[in-house]
Order: sequence, then structure tokens, then C-alpha cells
Amino acid sequence: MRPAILLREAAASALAARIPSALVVLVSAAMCLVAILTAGQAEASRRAIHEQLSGPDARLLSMTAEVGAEFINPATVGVLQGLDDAEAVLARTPATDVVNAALGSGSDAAPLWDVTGDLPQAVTLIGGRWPAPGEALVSERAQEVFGLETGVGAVETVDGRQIPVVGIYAPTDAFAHLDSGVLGATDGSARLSTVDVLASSLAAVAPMHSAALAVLAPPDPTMITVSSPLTAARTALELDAQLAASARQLLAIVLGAGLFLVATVVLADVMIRSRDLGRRRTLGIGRLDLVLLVSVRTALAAVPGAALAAAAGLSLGMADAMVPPRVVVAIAVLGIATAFAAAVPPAAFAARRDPVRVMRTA
Amino acid sequence: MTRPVLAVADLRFRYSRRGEEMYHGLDHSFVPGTVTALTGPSGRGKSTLLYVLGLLLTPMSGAVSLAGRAVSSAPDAERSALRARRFGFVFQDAELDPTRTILDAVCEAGLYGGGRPGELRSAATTLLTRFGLDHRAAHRPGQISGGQAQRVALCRALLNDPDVVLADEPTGNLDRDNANLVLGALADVAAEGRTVIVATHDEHVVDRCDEMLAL
Repeated sequence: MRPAILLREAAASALAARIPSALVVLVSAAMCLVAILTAGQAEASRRAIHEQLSGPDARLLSMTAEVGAEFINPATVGVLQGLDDAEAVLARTPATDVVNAALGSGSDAAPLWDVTGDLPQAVTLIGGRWPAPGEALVSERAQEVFGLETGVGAVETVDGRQIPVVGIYAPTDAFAHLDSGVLGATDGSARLSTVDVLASSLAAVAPMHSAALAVLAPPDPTMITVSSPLTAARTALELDAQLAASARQLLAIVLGAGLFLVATVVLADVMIRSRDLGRRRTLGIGRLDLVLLVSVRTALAAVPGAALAAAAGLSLGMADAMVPPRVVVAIAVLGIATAFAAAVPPAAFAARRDPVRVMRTA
Repeated sequence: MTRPVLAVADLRFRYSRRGEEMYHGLDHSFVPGTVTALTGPSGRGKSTLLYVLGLLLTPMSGAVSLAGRAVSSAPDAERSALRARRFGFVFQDAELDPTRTILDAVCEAGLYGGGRPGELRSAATTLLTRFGLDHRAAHRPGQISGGQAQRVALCRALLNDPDVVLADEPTGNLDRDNANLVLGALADVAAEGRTVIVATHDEHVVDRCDEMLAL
């Protein structure tokens, strides 16, 4: 049969068989709704947990060199920046106290780090401009400490070096430890001691850890201190995998139950309407076309059920902001596919039945 | 147009291994352009032979051939295609889909033969007009008489311009007038060169046929 004719016949047949179609609508709606409310919620929870566990904190590696070591330098920072899985790399000097240059020593101090690397990825500029080498940004907290109302001025180190302040920053989540100080743009001569590397994903933490150590290549492992969320990342990945497996299992159980119910309805339908199928066989429909006809008509009947469940799921999702719409839509599509698959065995059974016996005895 | 010959050779059939053997090596050629009555007492396999000829049942031995080619042992897909394109069936109870219109019911046979909907509707309308049923095209099977239903079934059987029309007790549920109408229509169909085979136990029907094959 031509596909368009098959589709039209399946639609007409589904409309003609009102009771079985209504049952398929009900079963598919119930199946999809239960799937959305259980597996969908589990998947939504998994995603929420995953987002929490894979937050910036869980992806930040911090490596500090022993005093005097020089393997953290602009060159190695540049190599780290070039790694595929590095979302942001920022190296800094040890902190030194600075005060508002206008107020002089004795006024309130804040830490200054000279930094190099991906400054725009590490902090957000909320006032002024990005600093050129020899200039600095102040954090909002340091701005308050210094009383720099406009965020423009200068800070002074204990040894009397004055650094112009050209803007105000707010650190991104991963670099929240920089929220109380001043970031000076280094001219390349500063002695870098610590480099922070933000991995692009939880899965990239372990390879990034190894890669960063390989790039820095400390002559002696004791010369570097690494603060890494490696264990946490592994735990998070395992937990994520377990939750995903659990959600899939739950979904499989719900769809399996729905599949069984739809198959039962279709089996009853093909038994009751055996003369209809026998007539079609006698008139020349092939077995494959008959299987497709029954399966497509079941899938078509499942469409309104799945749509109703999806609408209900979406409205629930919107109310609770828990089940993402694409999960709802995916479950609805899966529900329709399940109905199609459920119809295949009874349809195949009907197609294998002897049409003569059916026509003479049904 | 010369229609192919439907024939059986050394035909034997039984429904199950322990079932009674039927036909005992039947040899027969059905001549195109004639109406053949399959007749005999109940239980001798009149309808069964019709279904064997229509490739719905496979003989235990021997063969059904169409235009000299044995087709009874062909794969199911090929036999289905042959039923859809080369054979027309008329059942005792018409067997029209009660949920569809008369026009749709006639078109049904063409759907399985790969016909285009527009062409099928046009051909179906022509056939309904030929058998005086065009005014019933939009009706449902439940809204027409038994005789009309049987003529609709004949329209459906003819839609694909088949070589062979197989009718199983086509007048079994009809009064004499309607039976004559249907038999007249079958004779017209045969006059076009088709092979028409009617399974019947009705002497009146046998009398109207050109040939008789007693089982």
C-alpha cells in the first residue's frame, strides 16, 4: 500500500473502532502521565542534582607552587589556556595588602593579586574598563573598604607602589575567592604562585587535572600543592550515572506496563474485528501492510492520549518548574512509539491467521 | 483482450493432516468468458475450492495456475498481490465495511493493489453507475438492501479489472429478483472475457451458469 493511503486507512480505521481507540487513548494518556510524573520527575531531579554537583566549584582546580618555583609563568599559563577542556585559566601572585592611595597607610587594607590569563572569564566588569598592564580593578567589597565611590582612583602597596584603579569587578561563581580584593593586570614580570583552572565539565576535571600537572611539570611533586575537586567530581559522576539509570529503569517499567496494556487492547480488538481483517486479507492486503495498518492506527489513537498527558505534564511542570518541557515531549513521543510497538505482536498474530477460517467462523 | 486461463492440476487438499482429503487429483481449466458453477452436496469443499483458486489456501499437492504459471505455492506477498490485482471476490454476505461509505467500500480493493485514490474513486463511480448504484455512493452499507449490497460487492470485485471473479454463494441471502439481478451482472462480467466461478448449491444459480463443475 502507498504510505499516504496506509495512513489514511489507519486514521479511518481508528475513527471507526471507537471503543478500542478510546481505550488506547486512555491507556497512552495514563502511561505518559505516570511516566512524566515519575520518571520525568526523577529525570528532572537528576538534572537539578547534576547541575548542583557540576557547578563551577566542582570544576575548579587550584595549583600553588612552592615559594621561589617558576613553573607557573605566563608561558605555562598560555599553554593551559590552550587546552580544549579549559573554560578559564587565571594565574595570580601571592596577595599583598594595598590601601587607598588617597588615604595613605593606616587606612583600611585589602589584598592585591597581580593576575594574568582569562580575566574576562573569571570576573564580570560592572563599572569602568578592563585594566591595561600596571592598572587594576577593585571588587565591590574592596571599593567599599577603600571608599572609592566611582571605582576610579589608585591603590598603594606597602612599599609605596601606586596602581591606578580603572574599574570595578564582580567575580564569577568559580572565582568567588577573589571577591574581596584588587586585581592588578600584570606586565609579565610578576612572580606568579597560583593558577586556577576551570574545567569545562565535570567529566573533564580528571583529564584536566592530569594535563595541568603535565604542563606545569614541577621538578619535584612536593613543590606544588593541588586543590582539586577530583574525588567530588568522581562521586558526582557516579551519582549522576546511578540517578540516570534509576530514571531510565522507572521509565522502562512504566512504558512496559503501558505496552502490555495497549497490546492487550489491540489483541482484543483484532480478535473482535477478525472478519474486518479477514476481508482485507482476502481482498489482497499483504501481511506486512496489515501489521502496519493495525500498528499505525494504534499509534494514531495514542497521539491524543500522549498529547493530553503532555499538556498536563507541561502545565504541572510550569507550576512546579520541575519537569523540563523537552522531557515531557520526549516521553509523549516515546509513549506513541510504545503504542506502535505494542500493536505489532497482536497485529502480526492477526496477519498470520487463516483468513478463510476467520471469514467462515468469526 | 484475451484473459489468462485459470486451471488446477492434480489438485488435492485437506485442512489438517488428519483431515479428509478433498478433490482427489482434480484437473480442470476454467474457460475465460464463462460462468462456472462449483456445485455439490454440503461438505464437499465448494467454498474451499474457491479459496484454493483464490490463493488463500495452499493445496497439499497439485497446483493452481494462472496463464500457465503455478501460483498456488508462491510466497504470501506474491499471492496477496495477485489477489489484489488479478482476482475479485464476492462473499455470501457482501462483507462491506459498515463504517465506510459505499464508494469507499468499492475503492477498498484498489487500495491493496496500489491504486491512486483519485483514480480509484473515478473507477468506483463508473462501476456504481453501471450497476445502477451511483445514487447510493454516499450511503452506508446498513442503508442499502441485500441485493444492492451484493451488487456493491461485485463493483468492489471488479474495481481492479480482474481476470477472475470468485463468488461464494453470492445469492444465498437474496430473494429471487435480487438473485437474478446479481446473476445477470455476473454473466455480463463473464461476457467481458473474465473467468467467473460461483460456488453454489442452488439449482437456480446452476441453471444460469454456462458450465458446471460438480464436486
